[in-house]
Amino acid sequence: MAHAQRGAMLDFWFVLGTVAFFALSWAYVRYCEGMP
Amino acid sequence: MTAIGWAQIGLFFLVVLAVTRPLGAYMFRVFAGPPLLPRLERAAFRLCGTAGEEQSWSAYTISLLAFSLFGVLVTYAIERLQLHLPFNPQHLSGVEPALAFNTAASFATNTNWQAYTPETTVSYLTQMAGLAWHNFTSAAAGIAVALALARGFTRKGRGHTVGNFWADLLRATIYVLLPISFFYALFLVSQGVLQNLAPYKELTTLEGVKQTLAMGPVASQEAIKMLGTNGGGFFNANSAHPFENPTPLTNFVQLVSIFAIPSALTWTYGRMAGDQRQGWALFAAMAVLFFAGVTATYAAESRDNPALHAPNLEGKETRFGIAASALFATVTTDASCGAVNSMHDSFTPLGGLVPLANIQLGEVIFGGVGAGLYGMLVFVLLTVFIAGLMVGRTPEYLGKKIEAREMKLAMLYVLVFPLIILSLAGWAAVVPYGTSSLANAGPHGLSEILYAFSSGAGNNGSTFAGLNANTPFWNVALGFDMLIGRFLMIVPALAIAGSMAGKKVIPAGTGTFPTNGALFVTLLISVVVIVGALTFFPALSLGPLAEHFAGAAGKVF
Repeated sequence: MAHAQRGAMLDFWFVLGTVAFFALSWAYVRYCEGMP
Repeated sequence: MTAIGWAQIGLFFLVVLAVTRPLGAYMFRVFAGPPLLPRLERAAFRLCGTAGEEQSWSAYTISLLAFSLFGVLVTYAIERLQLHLPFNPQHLSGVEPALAFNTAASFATNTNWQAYTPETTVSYLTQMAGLAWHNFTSAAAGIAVALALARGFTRKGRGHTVGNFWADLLRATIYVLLPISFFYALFLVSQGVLQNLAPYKELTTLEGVKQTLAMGPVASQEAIKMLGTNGGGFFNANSAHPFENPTPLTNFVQLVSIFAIPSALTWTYGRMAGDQRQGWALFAAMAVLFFAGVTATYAAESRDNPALHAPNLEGKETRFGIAASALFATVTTDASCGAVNSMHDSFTPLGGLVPLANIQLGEVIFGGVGAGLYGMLVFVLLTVFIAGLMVGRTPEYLGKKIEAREMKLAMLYVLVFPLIILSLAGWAAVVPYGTSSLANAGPHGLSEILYAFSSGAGNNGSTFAGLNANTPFWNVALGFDMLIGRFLMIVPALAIAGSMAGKKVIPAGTGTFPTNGALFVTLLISVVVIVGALTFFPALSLGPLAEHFAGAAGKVF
């Protein structure tokens, strides 16, 4: 049970980390778009 | 070195040269002509909710990012849930979270870094739906980015658009990768590569020992693994495994198929530019760098191991020998493929230096499918800029002026690569949770660290296998290393495409620097080498070069 809970928590963090990376990439697109 | 060894290398290059034009012409027809199967394309577009209309560079990039995010998450879910999904005859449990993240990032970025042992970690469904699927789509995405950048440089009077990501992705997959892979897989089966969904077999060897033989749908993954410069082996031993690469002929065809599309894309590019010599100039620069690398690797590996006074055969398949191993190591690291038929960690220090340097040059020596072309085109911008500085004129390429914005974006592209490699390698080299994974001390240990982060950021995937990368630190660090090396380099490359697409074309004058001749090729090679050498030489001198000189003094690591 504890193993499953730890797994679920890590799943949450890895999914969040992945989404955060792609959100950062999207922000990078906007930065490059506005570059003079 | 032997004559037969050089004959293999020469024949390999001639076959690549022979494939370049017909495949390049076919891809030009696919990507620049009307749809080959219009009904199928329309149906696929409807399914994706797009009309296949032209996109700005930012819309194109965001489409790619959204598609890749979806791919990473789906693959992560498949890996984690594989115990409850079909095609798991070995009843393998779900992949551990950090390893699942690393593997999902690895295959979505066309890297195929494998911190896991496939035979004991991933089910057939994970191999087929989670990993082989990415082998197609990540390669197609690379081709799409190269096409967008090529359109940016070559289009005249078509506004700021660079194509449609979904159309490029679809066409690269259904017209190029799928049909070739289908026939390629049949050829591999004919040579003895496995293709089944059977459980592993228990056999008794002649010595009476029980042995488990891994089975699986190998050929279908092997074909796209090489053609898409993915490199992730169905088995842990990759193309050194007799069920993945059983004969000298499969070895030769696998080598050619790594270079086939990257090489052909230079021809496609020349056709798009309306000047075939532009494409051949890129091909020539890549070819010169390839021959320099293969000569150095072959020479280094042909020398006796100084500690043993015997040929350096550790980690090499005797059925392939030194020449085919050196050629494979050079080709797979030139092209960001990462498949191996010998273990690079067992190469001599200088023999191992070349694959490492190939990756660190930015994977532009033919490079990954699409990634090699867009990487080399960024170096073309730098070269044209430097040439312009030399003669005091505004640099231009294919009649379009290169201005401050393009150079800033090119520098963002060039700098993110060493920044991520050297900072992560520096971190791993000084913390116990980094160094505890090393099998070797001293400069060889540093080479293992440097190779891992270079391979990840370069989206290569091969490794100095003395490093145990399946720890939480290495899985997470390399996972982000691969994501940054892929997507944070694609963004400025596509921004350059958008910037160049809208520029007016100026007719060539007497002061125009020709970019299709020998002088330009020489300058382009110099820029690639100097940028790579200036960036990584200090690290290389502490790793493989120090190990070489220590070995000459009788000290091994």
